[in-house]
Amino acid sequence: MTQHLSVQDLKVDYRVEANGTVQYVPAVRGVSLEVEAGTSLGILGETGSGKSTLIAAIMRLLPRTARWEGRIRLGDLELSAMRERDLQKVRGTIIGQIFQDPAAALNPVIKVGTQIADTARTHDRTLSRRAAREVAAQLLESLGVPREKLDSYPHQLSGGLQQRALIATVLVGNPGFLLADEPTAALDKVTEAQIVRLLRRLQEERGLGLVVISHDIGVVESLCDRLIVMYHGRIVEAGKTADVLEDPQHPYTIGLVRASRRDRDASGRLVTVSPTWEV
Amino acid sequence: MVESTGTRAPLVSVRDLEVTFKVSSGWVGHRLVPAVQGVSLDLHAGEIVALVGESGSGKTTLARSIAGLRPWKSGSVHYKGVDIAEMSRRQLQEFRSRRGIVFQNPNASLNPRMRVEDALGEMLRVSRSVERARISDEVDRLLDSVALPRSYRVKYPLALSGGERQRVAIARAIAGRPSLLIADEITSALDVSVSAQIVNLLLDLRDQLQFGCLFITHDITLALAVAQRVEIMKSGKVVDSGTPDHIAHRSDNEYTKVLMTRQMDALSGTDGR
Amino acid sequence: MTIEGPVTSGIRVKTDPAATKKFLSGGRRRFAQNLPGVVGLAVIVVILIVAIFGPLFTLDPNRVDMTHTLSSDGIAGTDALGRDLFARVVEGARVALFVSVLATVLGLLMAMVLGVAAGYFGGIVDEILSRVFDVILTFPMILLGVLIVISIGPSLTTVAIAISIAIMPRYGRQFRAQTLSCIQREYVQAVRAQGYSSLRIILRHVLPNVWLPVVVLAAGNMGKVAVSEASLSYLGAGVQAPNASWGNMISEGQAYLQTNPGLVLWPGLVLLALAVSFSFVGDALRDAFDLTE
Repeated sequence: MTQHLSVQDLKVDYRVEANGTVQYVPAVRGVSLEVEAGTSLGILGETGSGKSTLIAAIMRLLPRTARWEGRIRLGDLELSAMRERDLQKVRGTIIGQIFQDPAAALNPVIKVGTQIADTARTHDRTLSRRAAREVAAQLLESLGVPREKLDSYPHQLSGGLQQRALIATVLVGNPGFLLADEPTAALDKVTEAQIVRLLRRLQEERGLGLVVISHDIGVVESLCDRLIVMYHGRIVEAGKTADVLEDPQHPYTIGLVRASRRDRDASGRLVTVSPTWEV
Repeated sequence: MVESTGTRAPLVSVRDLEVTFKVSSGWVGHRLVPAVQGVSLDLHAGEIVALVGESGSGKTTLARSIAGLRPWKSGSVHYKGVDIAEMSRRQLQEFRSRRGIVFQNPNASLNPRMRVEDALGEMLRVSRSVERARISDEVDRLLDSVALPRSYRVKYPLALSGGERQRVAIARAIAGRPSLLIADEITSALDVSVSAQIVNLLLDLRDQLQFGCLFITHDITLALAVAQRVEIMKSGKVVDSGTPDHIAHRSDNEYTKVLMTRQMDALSGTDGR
Repeated sequence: MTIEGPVTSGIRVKTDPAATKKFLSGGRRRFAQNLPGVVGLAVIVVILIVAIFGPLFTLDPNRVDMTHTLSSDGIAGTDALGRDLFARVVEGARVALFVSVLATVLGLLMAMVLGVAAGYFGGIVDEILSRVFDVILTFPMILLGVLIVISIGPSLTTVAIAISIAIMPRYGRQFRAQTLSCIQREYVQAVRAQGYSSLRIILRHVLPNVWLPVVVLAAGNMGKVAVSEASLSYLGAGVQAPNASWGNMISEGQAYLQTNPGLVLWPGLVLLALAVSFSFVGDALRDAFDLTE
């Protein structure tokens, strides 16, 4: 069950009240992108680039203070025009989101097995408690988590197992499209590599469409066929991942890639982004 | 520009340092957990030494002990030839005023209720590095030296970006013209482009002020870019040490190789592909 | 457990809900160490037992005996109509406890529905409900109670309803505030992304995390609720003669304050003891579970 994601001219502002006046601060300034079914897109950007807002907009989970316009389509579904009630049916079953910090994205006082089973029963009301628990157990095992961990609380698991449990809560509804917001940012390097491998395997096995946000070049390089670079709410560069990273054209991308690789200039200083150009 | 360290006396000299933690165990008891085990190293003025290790390696504990913030079980830390553990009150005061520390999280280390000029002014007053009358001018100078506009004096930390806050934290750390600077994961919470700017700033300040700097990080490639000497720590011990060139290309140490490969993989995405 | 960092970093008390759960096990012990709380709880339990089982052993509190008025027969003597004072105090305790519990439970239920709705849905719902809370709060409690009782007609249940409406906004605001902070948490965002309906999120992830502080607050307040019942009955807007309530006992006994102070002191002091006990218990609970106001 794979879907083609299409975003057209998305704009998002946040309503901010300062000194008694109301202002609208732009976070996404006209972004368009296409993700073919079964392929993966990386979004590279730093703080303030609008990447997280973009994801929230696609999931239709923007906060009340946000104002947006544009068109978002997933397969036949016009996500941008759907009502909340219908969107709740779509979320988790057609499109899912993996959050950055699994310790925060899992309810700390509910056992992980219960959380996964709960979500299973949300999507399928006919599922009994026992059946849901079995679904959760099998899913965890397929993700490399031993069945016994069903009865563990999140804080009792390592970061890697927590993230796998979180991924289980997302996959249990069998969505065909995943949005991953910095899925490895909270993990150490070894675990990061494991989760990246896991995501890649899942994508191949299930033919998932995948959008991965990261500030880490290594992550997008491992996971994504295509790459877009965001800066201040706009896409400044797009293309095949290898092309963008090996031969960047936009000054921001060049600076970002060189800063990530710790390139140094003639005087021994790190090369970095120099904001002397206009977007 | 790297000063040759040659045969000068080290600014800080650590010998066989052992630091332990008391951790509660069971209902009532305690266990002694070794955090630093038998570490020796030297730091010279104008030199940046990086302590690289993963979480739990002991690098932060070691740095805090060197800074005199944490007592140790055995071994010694000498500052300008004097053992810190045996310093008189006067000497300790002098040591503290010549020591600057920058932490990872600028949100926690900057008082949100103090304007930039107040935070810097307080540091100047405490370190007594300039006369009171000249404090305001010195605040301007400090802001210049960290490449922040002078108009930022009146701002509160909340109004600044992460990188700007870290610059203020650095300005505060160098306010007393320290001879020893401890930089504990100062870029870990920042975007990569901003990190690079902060590291460049640190290098510029080192050139100007010639302080000895202990640079703590979990990121080995960052350490290689900034330090003259890299100490790799694991489980409280220094398992490898050397120049960046040595660590990157010529080390035989298994752990160093693991760290290098992991980081390089992450950077170039050759992980398994 | 990492060895970096201060000694106490072995415990990862990251978010409030986890802390609540951990404290629940230690909380009982901490409560037991709070002397006023323990004493208060004991007093409440004693009054409760007497209220429940007392009538089995006492005389009829409404039996009038004009031949033995204002005497010292029985445990506490008799009142102006010869009714046994002790029996009436026990009856008053039943009334006070019944009304306190019923009013608190009703108040909490209303507050929960309205407060969580206001916090979760925000927008116009929040605007309206917050105004409702404000309006009810501006009414002096007694006035509100009197108005409601007069319009519906006085009875124990009416009194409970009136008081529950009066106390509801305070708990409602607490529920609202707790809900507002709860929905900011990332795990609420995560389950929204998993397609949970609002109702499911509220039942599964919001309510379990918001109920404790409010219930503790309400428990500490029950004494004041008992005083409110007594006040209403004192004014004649609560329990009506000839039935006994501490409030109307005080009102009737006032005239004889010089000669038979017991008529006022017995109900008054027991009411005071109950109110203070609830207050101590509430404070002790708040300390035990480390809840800030």
